Amino acid sequence: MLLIPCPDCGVRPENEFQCLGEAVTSRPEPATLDDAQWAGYIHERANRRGQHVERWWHFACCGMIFALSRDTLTHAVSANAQDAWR
Amino acid sequence: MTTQRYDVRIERRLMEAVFEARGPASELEAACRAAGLAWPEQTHRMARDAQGCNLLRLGAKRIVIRAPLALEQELRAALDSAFAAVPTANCALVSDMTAIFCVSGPGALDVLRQGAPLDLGLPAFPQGAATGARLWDATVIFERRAAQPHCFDILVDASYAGYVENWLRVAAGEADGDEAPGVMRAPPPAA
Amino acid sequence: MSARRVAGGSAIDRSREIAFTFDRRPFRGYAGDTLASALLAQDELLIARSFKLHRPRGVFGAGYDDAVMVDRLAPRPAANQLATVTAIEDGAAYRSVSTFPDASRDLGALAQFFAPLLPAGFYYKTFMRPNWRLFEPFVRAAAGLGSVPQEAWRPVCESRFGDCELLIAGAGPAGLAAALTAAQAGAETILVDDGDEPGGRLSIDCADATGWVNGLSQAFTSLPNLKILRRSTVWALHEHNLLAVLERAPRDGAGLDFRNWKIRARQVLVATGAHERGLLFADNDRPGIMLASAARSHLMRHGVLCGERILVCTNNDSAYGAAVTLAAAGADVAIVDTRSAPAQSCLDAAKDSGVDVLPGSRIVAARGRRRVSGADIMLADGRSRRIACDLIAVSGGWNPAYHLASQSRRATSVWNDEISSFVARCETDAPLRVAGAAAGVFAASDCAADGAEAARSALLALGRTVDPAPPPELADAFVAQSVAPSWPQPGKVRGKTFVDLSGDVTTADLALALREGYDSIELVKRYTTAGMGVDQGKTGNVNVIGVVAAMAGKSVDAVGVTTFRPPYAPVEFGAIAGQRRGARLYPWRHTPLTRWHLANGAVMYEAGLRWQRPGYYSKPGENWEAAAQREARAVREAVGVYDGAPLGKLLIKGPDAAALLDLVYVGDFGKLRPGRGKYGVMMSDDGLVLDDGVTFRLNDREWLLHASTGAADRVYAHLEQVLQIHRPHWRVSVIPVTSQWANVAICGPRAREALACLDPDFDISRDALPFMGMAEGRLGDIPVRVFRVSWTGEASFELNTPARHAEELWRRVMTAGAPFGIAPVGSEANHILRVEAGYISIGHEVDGTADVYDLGLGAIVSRNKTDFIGKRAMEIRRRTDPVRPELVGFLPDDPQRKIPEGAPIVPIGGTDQEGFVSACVASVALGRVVALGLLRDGRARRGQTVHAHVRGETIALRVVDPVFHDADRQRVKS
Repeated sequence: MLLIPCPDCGVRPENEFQCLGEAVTSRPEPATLDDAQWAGYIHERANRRGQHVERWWHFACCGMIFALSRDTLTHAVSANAQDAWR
Repeated sequence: MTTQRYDVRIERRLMEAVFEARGPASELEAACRAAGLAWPEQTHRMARDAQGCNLLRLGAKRIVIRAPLALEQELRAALDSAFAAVPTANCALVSDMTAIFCVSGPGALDVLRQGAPLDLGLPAFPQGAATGARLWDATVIFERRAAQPHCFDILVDASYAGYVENWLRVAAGEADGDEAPGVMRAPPPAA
Repeated sequence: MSARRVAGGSAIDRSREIAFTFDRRPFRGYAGDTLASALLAQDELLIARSFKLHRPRGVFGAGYDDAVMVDRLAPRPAANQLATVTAIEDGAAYRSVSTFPDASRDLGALAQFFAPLLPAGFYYKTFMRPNWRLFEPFVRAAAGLGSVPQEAWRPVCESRFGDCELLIAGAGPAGLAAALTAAQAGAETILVDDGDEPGGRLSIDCADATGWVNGLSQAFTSLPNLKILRRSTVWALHEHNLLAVLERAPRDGAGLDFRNWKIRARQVLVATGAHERGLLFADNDRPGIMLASAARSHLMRHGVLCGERILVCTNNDSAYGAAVTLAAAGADVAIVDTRSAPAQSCLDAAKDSGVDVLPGSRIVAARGRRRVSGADIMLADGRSRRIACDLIAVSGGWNPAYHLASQSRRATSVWNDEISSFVARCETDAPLRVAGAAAGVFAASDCAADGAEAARSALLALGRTVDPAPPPELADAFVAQSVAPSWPQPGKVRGKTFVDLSGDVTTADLALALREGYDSIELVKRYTTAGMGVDQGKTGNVNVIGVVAAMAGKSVDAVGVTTFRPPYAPVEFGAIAGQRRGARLYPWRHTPLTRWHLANGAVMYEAGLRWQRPGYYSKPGENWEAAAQREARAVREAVGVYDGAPLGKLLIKGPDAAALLDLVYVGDFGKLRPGRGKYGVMMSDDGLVLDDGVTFRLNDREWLLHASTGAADRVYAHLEQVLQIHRPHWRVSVIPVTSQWANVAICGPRAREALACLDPDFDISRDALPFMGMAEGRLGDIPVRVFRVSWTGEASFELNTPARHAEELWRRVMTAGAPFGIAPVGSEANHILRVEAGYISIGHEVDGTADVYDLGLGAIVSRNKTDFIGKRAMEIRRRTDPVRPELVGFLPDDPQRKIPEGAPIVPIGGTDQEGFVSACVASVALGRVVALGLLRDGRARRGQTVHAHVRGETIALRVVDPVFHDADRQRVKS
């Protein structure tokens, strides 16, 4: 179980959150993209080995959705000066 | 029926007046102050006013208000009017969907830590602290009422009340753990 | 020549004798004995058979480094208990594992004659013709380990979370010194050790440490911020320093058999010691061959001298300590040292104890089959000599047990030439340290100093500064220094040289793996199963790596180690599960009416997200089908009532609320008037249906969105993501209120009449309260909101009331409806009603492949909106794959033939599935079986016959419109 640093509530156990997956841009205007680009927005993800940015939803407490950076190999989560857990 | 394993008391409280409000932080604060409620200075704390209304700040954009059931009508009217004045933030009556348990005694953490990954111990979760968290597979709100001995109020969606109560009693060693699903252990007390 | 009990033994209590049986023979021991030590004390050496070849085996180690398993038959039957760790109990019965009839006379020993057919990976090459399945049952039976107990013993297990600032794994000299430092600095500290008392190997190696250990135990009692977990093993170090700790038989009065902790520690110190490894020579697995430290441990802890004539074979100094101790206990000891010039201190100590030393010599083979009878030695000058002995105590070096550090993935394994083994190098900023023998530091005082220093460093990271106390003076003369490399090339020797006892892996197997091209150490492990057994390679892995390096001509560092994974030691499943069993495996949810349902004969089903809902209400003499028919008929003919409370409800407010609904729904919602509702379908952005439901505009500001029971959480998550990620500037608030409102749904041609009997204070006529309308008011004294929606194909009134009034309202409805023959309706009957009426259900027809048009709901899609979520993807999909799976009805040719839901539709003689049956019921309206489903190009194929396939049987179906009752929706709107 990871420890997730919520900007509103501090560091909390992972099961208070739902992971929303790799962070993508907010929804583009469909008219500005062709079919292949739209399919890319829906389905393609970088799926990096190492540092990647993802979104989490703190549904159990404050309800905020936020992004953080996590290393997919070591689970090291984005740096935070007050955060002693890495 | 087994003898209890930890020195703990588990009670289901009678229904209270409970409200949940969500919306932009500034609107929540303005509406609550307009309704005459005490506003906690920090999030994840509660503030109580003279009438016994308890406001729990669970995040910038979410609060829960508890009060004795007798105050429900009056409080509802005040909140309806206060929230009608703000464009986005809303306040819903959730008394009927909020089951409240009280877990108290020296063994309270022995029981609660079986289901709660959050550190509910003393320097981390002091008296007056209130936050949303997980207890086994239910989403709950913990509020610490007292430090010595421990006393916690647990607010949970009423539909999960049977599940949470069963777990609390099994964790305390009061029940032997062979409960069939679909059977309420005890009906909720009448309002 | 025998093993026997002698004086001493720090762990045993000679005043308490214990009687037990092993393989049905009686034995005696003392309280504090392990099964291994008690059997050794009575010279019972052959107590197991090896996994593959059923070779005679005995005790090799003295703790988790050993691999001999037994089944405990009584008390508390359990499989696969480690003999060197299991404490004997009075009246207990143990049995060797995977032997028949027992370890001594095992018939499985015949396997040894088939050894040439059973090399590593044999199952890829042998037993293939004529058919593997002929051999499979025998191989599978032989490949088991232990047997599941027949009697049920349910241990009382608890699973619990904990938090601390510093967790120290291991209470040897390093761990103890660290614990003292940390606790005196005021840190919340947890010290975990698998022994009954702290001290680790000090009780074996370092007799003058007792004073120090006792002094610390005293000091600890006055430090309330230090918690000590005894008989506990840290078995996993998960991400972000979450440690799994199994506490056995906690003695805190809670009456538990196991407590499994999940402890979040801000800092972790791994002080778990080191494992000795063996030497490589022919037949190095015989009973009577054990690690030198194990022989010493059995003597010091249990007072068991494992042999009379002991040959100590070593390549380092530590075995001299064992040799001297064994000699002092009365054994005749000699040392064979591969080093040609051992340290003078070693030679002097040996001489003083009357122990002969043969430097520059090595053991080549063991003699004896059921127990060791001698050893073949090659001397420094090349001559051979045979030495008679009854115990060979081997020491090939020591492997730091840094497994936990490696599991964290914040440490790499690095070869250390000085100790000829691997150590962990932790990342600089990792909240993790390794100290003591686990870090390759072996002298006891050095361990204590190392532990204290590691604690100081950890405390600094926690914001506490401290000066550790100076380390104690602990003399242990012989530590694992000057280790000579010990991996010869396999020579021409008769007999097998084992590198992994647990998996029966020999050097020949390693050579085979390399010859066949499995040259990475991970492949070698999997091909040969070396390191995959019960001991997980604790004593064998480094030897495996060394031999592979020698055979492949690489450096040991280049070969590297395999990945360390939890558990570190065997853990019972029950301990991990705790009380999460039976009903509590998953949550369950009740509606406010459950009490009434149960009191009135409801059989509860699980529905949607863990909800308990009545499936049907059983009356005497009725099965579920008859009950469902009766309930559905009541709704079609008169009136019925069902509990719709689990329906998801979201309260939405804000200036942009209408814009939100227009974005997420396929239809137009922006212009919905207050007091009106509209049926909407929501798609995800990949163009597939997410949910459907009716959303009402309650008043100028607020909307109530209804989501399906099973989709409520998904829909809420979807809305939050839309608002917070895609439209962060929109002003909308969403509050879930699903359980706040009970939903008593009255439906049927006489529903309005029944409703009138409830004394409404508002107009319920068809004009005032039309289909898709709502009203608010009271029924008598009960406040309600009434929604005119229907899922049954009849006029329907969903009465929403705060849950506190639910039971009373339901009772009044039942009373009011009694003259009309009202029946409570469960989900089985609901299923019949909605299928007849042709309404889709999320999870049946909506399976993630059909879009809104496919489901026949094209009419609700907005023609004005340029965009809504899912629109673009749906258009792309329809363009690229124009032949669509479409919602149709099916009528089986045999009108009473029911088809299992999910049955595939495949053309006769064809192989491609062209659809499936999504729902099938015995219709009360038509008196025959009807079904719904998806079929490629279905609408164009109305009137055709297709075929569903069920377990080889073919059922003919005629394709029809997907609605069988109230097609014009007149009844619903009445």
